[in-house]
Amino acid sequence: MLRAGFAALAYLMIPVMVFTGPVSALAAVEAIDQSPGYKPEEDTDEGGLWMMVEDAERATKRSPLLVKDEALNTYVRTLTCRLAGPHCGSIRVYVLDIPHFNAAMYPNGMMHVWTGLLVRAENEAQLAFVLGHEIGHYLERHSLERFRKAKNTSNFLAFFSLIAAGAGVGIAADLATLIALGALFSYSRDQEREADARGFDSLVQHSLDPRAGAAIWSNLIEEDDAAPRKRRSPFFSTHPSPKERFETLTARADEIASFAGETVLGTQRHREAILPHRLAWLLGELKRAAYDEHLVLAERLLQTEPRSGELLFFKGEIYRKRNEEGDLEAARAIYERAILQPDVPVEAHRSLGLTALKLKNNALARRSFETYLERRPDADDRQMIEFYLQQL
Amino acid sequence: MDTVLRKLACFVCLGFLLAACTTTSTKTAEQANISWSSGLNKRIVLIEPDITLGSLTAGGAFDPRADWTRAAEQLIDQETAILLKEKNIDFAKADNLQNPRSIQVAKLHSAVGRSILLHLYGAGGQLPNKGKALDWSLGPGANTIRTDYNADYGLFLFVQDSYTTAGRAFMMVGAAILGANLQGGTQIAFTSLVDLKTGDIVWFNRLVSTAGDLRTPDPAKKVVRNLYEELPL
Repeated sequence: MLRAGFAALAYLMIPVMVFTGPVSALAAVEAIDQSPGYKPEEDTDEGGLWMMVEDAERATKRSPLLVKDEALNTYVRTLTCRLAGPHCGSIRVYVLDIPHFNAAMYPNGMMHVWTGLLVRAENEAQLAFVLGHEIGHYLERHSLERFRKAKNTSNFLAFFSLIAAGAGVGIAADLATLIALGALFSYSRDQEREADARGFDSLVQHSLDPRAGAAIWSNLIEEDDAAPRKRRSPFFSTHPSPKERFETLTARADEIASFAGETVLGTQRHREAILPHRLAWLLGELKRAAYDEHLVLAERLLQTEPRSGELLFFKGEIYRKRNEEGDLEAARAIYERAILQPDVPVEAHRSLGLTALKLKNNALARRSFETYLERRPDADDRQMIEFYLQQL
Repeated sequence: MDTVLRKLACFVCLGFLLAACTTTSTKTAEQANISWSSGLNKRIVLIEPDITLGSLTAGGAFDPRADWTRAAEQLIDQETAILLKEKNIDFAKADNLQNPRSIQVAKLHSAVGRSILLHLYGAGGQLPNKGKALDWSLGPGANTIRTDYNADYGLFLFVQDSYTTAGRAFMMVGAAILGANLQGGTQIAFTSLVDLKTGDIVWFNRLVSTAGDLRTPDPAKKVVRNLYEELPL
């Protein structure tokens, strides 16, 4: 993640992290870059860390959140491989269906890429920046530094860690755990800066648009600004402020602008890879019920595709589910635009019907429900919709 | 030994810093009728044991060690096989389940086992309507493991063992001078025996110990004996 990935160490680390105060001395990790195929000795603390993470990797392979689609995996894997160069063989990518912006690199080479990142990256260059950033954490072995720091600063916690470890049978790699842990762990200010620099360098090295790093940051800042104060993204709990990181990346892109040569964004390739999944991922976002943030995302996506039926449907769903003053009216108007687009999901008719029902517009409700059943005769909620029709 | 006495003994040894002490506490389901399929050799499968050894740092954090863990895994396997052989039971190990249904059963057990630990053993964790009986089950879904491994019973095992580092020992002595009791390395383990036909957990044992080095053969043997001594097979 642009924070640490440590789900594996959940049970050992939660108590440590909760009570850890500020620290002065950071145990430095000697070697800067680990060599390709590196594996630590078993009798070291790093060997122990790897062992725990290997357990987490086994759990990841079995996780119901794992996205197995071959084409999508190939896309993310190929890009990762390009960026990782000689380290390609040491990195294993797992795409997880989690509606938050995140990627995480574990010390043993396991990489988690969350679908919330894929749906927010606008092009290959933006995705490459985040992946490059993560590979940077990996190559500089930042998680080992974090691990050592946590260990050396966890006073009086033997009790807690043992209880937690005792209770934490196996690894619950579920969504809540992953998110909670992501929030608990953050790399240091300097580590994030180093990783950002790595991400930027990988854009330059591969002739990808050097402004992509700043761009994805600014999109995220915009989305996060819409969140109520208490529910800001765990992503933003990392130390260097997003604004500072955005400015640094912009300045670096400016510096090299004159001699950057031809660069690419890879918008088309990215779109092709994610489009078959995009609607499902967007609807998955709604489970977070962070409607103000979803709206920012929907608006941003609609800027490039104002006539996309699925994006309009997504936007309508946000209003319908938020259901504040005037939202149902807004939803109705958006659905009515959506159903005119050729790529509209059939469910838009059902949503329009449900909205019309609440607005007591029976004629519209009837028309919409009938269209829905006509286009999806084997709908599994057919009986429910027929019941509504009878009530009208 | 009488469990009350045992508890008392353990309480006494808490007063001594590095004093060694082991308690086990077994529970057996009331309707645990052990029955083996006829025609089959008696066979038990150890399902993805979760064993982690590490050291306790001066600060009190658990520092996992891969080499110790591997050594302990081997010794526990070896001793368990010997112990079961004495009871005329074959022993298989399912280290990496492939059948998705079996994986679900193993995941379910990690939740159920933890619940038993919390609600049957944990102080104050008792469920008002559940009582003190061991009447937990994973359901007949466990049958997939039975068929895949040709075993009537499954054994789950969790072990977390920590050893005191020099730094921690130093802290403990320091704390003792100040009149405080800082905990040293501790072994926590639990194991459950599951009837793979019904999924019922027929027997459960929890072990807490400050002695018994799992990295060396003799103490490891003792730990395995303590764990499985009262196995109702």
